[in-house]
Amino acid sequence: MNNQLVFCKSKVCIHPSTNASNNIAGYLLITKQNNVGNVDPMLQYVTEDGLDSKHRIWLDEAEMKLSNGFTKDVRMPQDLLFSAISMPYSFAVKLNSLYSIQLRLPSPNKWWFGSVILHSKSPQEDETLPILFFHDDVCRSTIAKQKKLNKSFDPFNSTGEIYWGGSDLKDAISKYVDLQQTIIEPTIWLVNATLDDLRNFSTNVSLLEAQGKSNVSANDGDDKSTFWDKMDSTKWNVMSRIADATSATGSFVSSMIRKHPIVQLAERNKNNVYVKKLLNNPRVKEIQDDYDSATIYLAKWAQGVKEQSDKFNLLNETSESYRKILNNELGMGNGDNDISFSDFELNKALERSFPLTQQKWNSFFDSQGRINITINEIKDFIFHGGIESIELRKTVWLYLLGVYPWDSSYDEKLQIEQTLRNIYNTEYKSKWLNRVPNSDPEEEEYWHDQIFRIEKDVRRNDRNIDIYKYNTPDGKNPPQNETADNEMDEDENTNLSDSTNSDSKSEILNPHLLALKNILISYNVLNTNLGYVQGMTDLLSIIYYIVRDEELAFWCFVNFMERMERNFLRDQSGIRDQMYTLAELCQIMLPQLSKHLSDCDSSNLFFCFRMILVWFKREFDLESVCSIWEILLTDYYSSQFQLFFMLAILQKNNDTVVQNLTQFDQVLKFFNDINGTLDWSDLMTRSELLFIRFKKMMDLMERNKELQDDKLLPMYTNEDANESNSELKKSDYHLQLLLSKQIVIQREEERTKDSIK
Amino acid sequence: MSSRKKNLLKVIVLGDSGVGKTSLMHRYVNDKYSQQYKATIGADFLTKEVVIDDGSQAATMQVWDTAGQERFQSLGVAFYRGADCCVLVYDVTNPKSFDNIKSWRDEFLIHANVSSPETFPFVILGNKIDIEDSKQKISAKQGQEMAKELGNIPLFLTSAKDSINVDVAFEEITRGALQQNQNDADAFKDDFNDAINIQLDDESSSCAC
Repeated sequence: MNNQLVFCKSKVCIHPSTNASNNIAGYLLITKQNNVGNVDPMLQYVTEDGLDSKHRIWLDEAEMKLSNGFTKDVRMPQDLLFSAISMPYSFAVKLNSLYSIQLRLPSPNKWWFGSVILHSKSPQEDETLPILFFHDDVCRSTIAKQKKLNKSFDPFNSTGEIYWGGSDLKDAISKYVDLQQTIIEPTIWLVNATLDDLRNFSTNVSLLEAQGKSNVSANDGDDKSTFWDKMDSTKWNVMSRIADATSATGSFVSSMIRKHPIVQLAERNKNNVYVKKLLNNPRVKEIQDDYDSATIYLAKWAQGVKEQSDKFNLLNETSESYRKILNNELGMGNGDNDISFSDFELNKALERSFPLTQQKWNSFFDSQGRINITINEIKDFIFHGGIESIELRKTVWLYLLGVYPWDSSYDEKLQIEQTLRNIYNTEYKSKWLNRVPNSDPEEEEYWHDQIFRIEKDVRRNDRNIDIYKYNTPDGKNPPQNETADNEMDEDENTNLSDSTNSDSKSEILNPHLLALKNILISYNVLNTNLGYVQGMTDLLSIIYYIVRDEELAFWCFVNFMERMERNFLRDQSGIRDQMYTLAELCQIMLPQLSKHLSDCDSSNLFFCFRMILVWFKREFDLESVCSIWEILLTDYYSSQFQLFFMLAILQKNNDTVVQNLTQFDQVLKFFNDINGTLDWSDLMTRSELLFIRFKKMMDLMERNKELQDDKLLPMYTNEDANESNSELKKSDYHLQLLLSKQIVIQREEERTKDSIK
Repeated sequence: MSSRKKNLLKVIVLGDSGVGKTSLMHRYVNDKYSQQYKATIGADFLTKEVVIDDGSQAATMQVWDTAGQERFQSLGVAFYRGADCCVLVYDVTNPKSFDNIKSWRDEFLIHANVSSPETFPFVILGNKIDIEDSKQKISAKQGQEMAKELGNIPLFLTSAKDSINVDVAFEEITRGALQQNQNDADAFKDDFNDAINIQLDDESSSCAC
């Protein structure tokens, strides 16, 4: 076993008592085993007196090396930790098993040291973790760095915070795990937090307060339930969870609980009859009894919270008005509790600020490379926060697009990848590269026509995206053209000139465009019935841009086409089905707009055709398209979530359309030219709320129908009723299908010589 | 049915994918050209104010651009309705697109439901004549012969890229569309309403085309 040292900080002390002479000094280390990836780094603490002088000198040197950015292979002497780790006060903990880390800044006048409080997910382990004080004034690496910063007149580190020894620890840890600062207590950072924790710890105080007030006053007396009941059932869990996770650390719990928005909310409403009731709730009592610290928050309810809440109010004023707008526009607004949004639903849809990071992603996998949380949790992250970087996107999209099964191990993934690369080359690509002409002249002509169509669309594909821009063998701008650029007579700021153009007869040289062509032709070999259809290049273009690997992008595309084939069928039945479903959806969700569109001869929603066909690719910029697609690909709520996103676009423009447009052509033009005006994130929040409302409406209809069926069924036996029933069933079926997460597959029928192209 | 707007000339541009329909439309309406046009999905239109002949009359021309791929046509036919002129485009370097001109015309006549197919104005454009001669597969002569065969349809050889003959072609298109628009209005007048007669007569007499 080979231990690598990746972080070292000296003069990190434990203060067993208030007497400074009892302080124990030591080294705080992060070590990593040299084998697989970034899995399982350890945070270790060893006291100075547990080490012999040789090892201390070694560590002092290593500390300076690492602090100066020397990261290559700092191997620990085999015997360094053997004796030291068994000394009293020494400890070792896996970074992944930490729940949170609290970083308390030193006082500016050096009256107290900066300190770090670690919390483990396991209560037993948690008890063994002492508070660590950073004696910056005697720590060589901290002093050296401080000097450097002073020289550049910058007392802050790169992120604008005051520099101290703990900053280095935070930077080092964040390389291996995902750290998220909590809003309610900014010194506390959650380690690889679950999305639920993130939601709860970032819950907005003022929002909750606002709801609390409005709910309490609106219901005053007659409806005793809603807000407090909901809080009781869902949000109390959070508090007890904090308590569970950190039972041993009194001060932590109390500060956490005291600052929890629910507690603050309750504090401000303590004279309210429901709060009084709540405090007598047996579960609250239980928390009070079990944990001493919990009583502190009750005692301190009377003081010190107003300032903080004012601060939050200020910070979140905009988000609150946004929340109100969404609730007004998308909720039913008639007080129908079955259909209005719960606080939880609104919060969940609004909170989109935790993207999936590389560290977080790594934490999902065990040492074998299998996921250790549910697929749904991963999808929740993607759906509500997106994927942070393009590098990570490449990895995650391979899962989203079905190349890697979610539950495969490292070894299996390697094997799958190898096999797929082989099959692509031997079964598909080489099939057409070494193709012998077909003896049937019509088939031969068909084939050449397919190639012609593919090349034509690949040549003009997304020439505004950097990798596709220049038709040169290296895909780069040839230097001789730079001067000619400005003289081009073109309306968009393109840099294309004759030698790099998309002339319909010029050969494709750009390696990325060539890859698109190869993939599309290979797909033509794989799916012989469908043939090439315009729009497919648009789909592939995005996938290839992310995956940037011809062989893997092919398989991503093949899997993507499983669900997208229905958009391209000869008889257009798949796309018609979706437009029909959308029209139904629009009718029940946006009846005013639906009626208006019908008055404008637009009830067939043809103006949505392009958006649905290529998943909004022509309406948004590249980055936004990727963000939208990875969310749609999760099938988190529905495999046809694109229709809810489409519905959100309609909803967002509802008033504009109703007030200003009266003709079919106006409506079409309005939506054709809509690009550049849309905020995808806002629309996604709206889509989610629209889906939730739709689901509630469906549930309600289902219940009503059951009731009616029970009562009325015997009365309707004639044919009329059957007929209207079947009509109802048809639209019912389309709407029901929207609740399914299973992708809808519609395949092209067998191609004949007369088949339309 | 959406009402026929006065002095709105509706022009439909048809032809195989990649022949340059979108480029021609942009060249005519905005006098611009870009290499970046992607394959058209669905349908779109641009409008341009036109002044006719001696400047005595103004109209708005609405030029409709549709997807070239055959299987999308079943959705595109909705736009044919109410057209005043149909522009058929082929690519002089692509014989197939030339061969398909006739079927594009037939397709249009079947779905557009025009009042008198014999007199309905078409214009044929052979596009991309900027491309070097050796790559041009359809000669001007071949173009002329086909145009004649289809009923003496006016033909123009154009380049959207280098702006050759585009304006001239659209002048012809405007004339045809205006004539058709007038014919339909006359038919409308004869059929229905004498009271409007006088007004329309006034208008038509001021149009000395």
